[in-house]
Amino acid sequence: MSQTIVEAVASLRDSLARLSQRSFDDFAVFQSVTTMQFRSNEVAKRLAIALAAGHSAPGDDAVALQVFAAGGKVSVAQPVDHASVAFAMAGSGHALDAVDNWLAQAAGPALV
Amino acid sequence: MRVYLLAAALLIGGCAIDRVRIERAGEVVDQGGPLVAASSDLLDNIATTSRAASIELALADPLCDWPEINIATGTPATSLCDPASSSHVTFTRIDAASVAPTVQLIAALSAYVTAVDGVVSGSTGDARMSLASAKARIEAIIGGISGFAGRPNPVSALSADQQTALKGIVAMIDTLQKEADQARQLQAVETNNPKLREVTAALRRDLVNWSNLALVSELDTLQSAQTLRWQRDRMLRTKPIGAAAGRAWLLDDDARRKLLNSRLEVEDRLAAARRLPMILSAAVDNFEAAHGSYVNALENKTLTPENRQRVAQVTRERLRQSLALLVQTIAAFK
Repeated sequence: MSQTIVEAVASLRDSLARLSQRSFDDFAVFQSVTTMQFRSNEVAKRLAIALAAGHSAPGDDAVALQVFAAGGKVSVAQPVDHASVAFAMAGSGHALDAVDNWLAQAAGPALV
Repeated sequence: MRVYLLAAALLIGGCAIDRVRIERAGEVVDQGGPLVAASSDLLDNIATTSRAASIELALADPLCDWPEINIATGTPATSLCDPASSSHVTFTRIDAASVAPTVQLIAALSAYVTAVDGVVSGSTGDARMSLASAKARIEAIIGGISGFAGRPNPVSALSADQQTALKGIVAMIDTLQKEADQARQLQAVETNNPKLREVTAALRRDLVNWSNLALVSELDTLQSAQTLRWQRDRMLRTKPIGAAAGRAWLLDDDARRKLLNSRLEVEDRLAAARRLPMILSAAVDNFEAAHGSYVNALENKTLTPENRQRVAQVTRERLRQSLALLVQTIAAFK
């Protein structure tokens, strides 16, 4: 199950990376995407550290599904449509919060 | 007379089987050495990239401290490390402590390959030393001596499965040390196959996760921090916000050139890193296949010499191709 969360986080990270490579007309909006990208990268790294150390936790399909859904919202967001970007970033933030909680259960608070 | 001929035939048959054992064991060494080297290179590369990403983040905003970088994720967030933000995420630098559990798996695989190499080469003095050294290393790992400058590492404990697998390898090395006969030493390698599978399965999973989750993410952070600097500079040039505050962010031509060149280099590395999980996974598969083929050759005493030769040729060609691909991919990061 942990590999499904891995795939979901990697997918969200890649969607954020694709969005940040597009043309933005507002620097603050661009920065909000980049910041979320940094956050997803940090979650991905902490996942790698925890899994390499042999940590695992009971599977949680809801977390993986939430992260995949957040990635979907990021994929359809348009840089010039600021509301769509804000909506996608809010979804990404909630999804990454859920992964952080899952990580805290799997590896302990030291990694979150 | 017939009895002598039969005995001679049996002796020749036995020698042929031993030759096959030694030949196949040599393939295990040929495949294992580059896999160990590539795995270590990957971990070094991740640590180096993580350091570079932390520096690039610090350069992206004067409000970012270093080495502890707190990225603003709440509101307000007027800049990357705005201390007034309601929440932050702290950059995790991947270092020796982070990768220690995987280094331990690589050390176990390396010790195994070294042990097989010692038996195959038959250099008794060196082999005894390398076996003793390999055993000491693995026992230190099992005992929890991880040796990274005395730093406490909250995640360095090995799982029960990993410990069992490592103990199996120690038992195999013990047998190798006790047996003087080369063919019987190789039989000890054969019986260790299931334990080795546990080590390689864990190593495959970790290498894929390190490359996909860690390396790609660090390169992505590096690239995005560079993009952030570039975009801010470009927007300031096209929409001057005036006053000294804006001018302070502007880059001169040399700095812009360096930034773009560096960004393009990261783009190439990122593309290569995205291919890496599949290639590393294939490299572990090929090592397992080489080992499996070797064990099958030991077990199957009915193969004709022609069949053995043909299997060996096919195996060698497959290993040669996969190793060439692995070396090319790893070299792309250097």
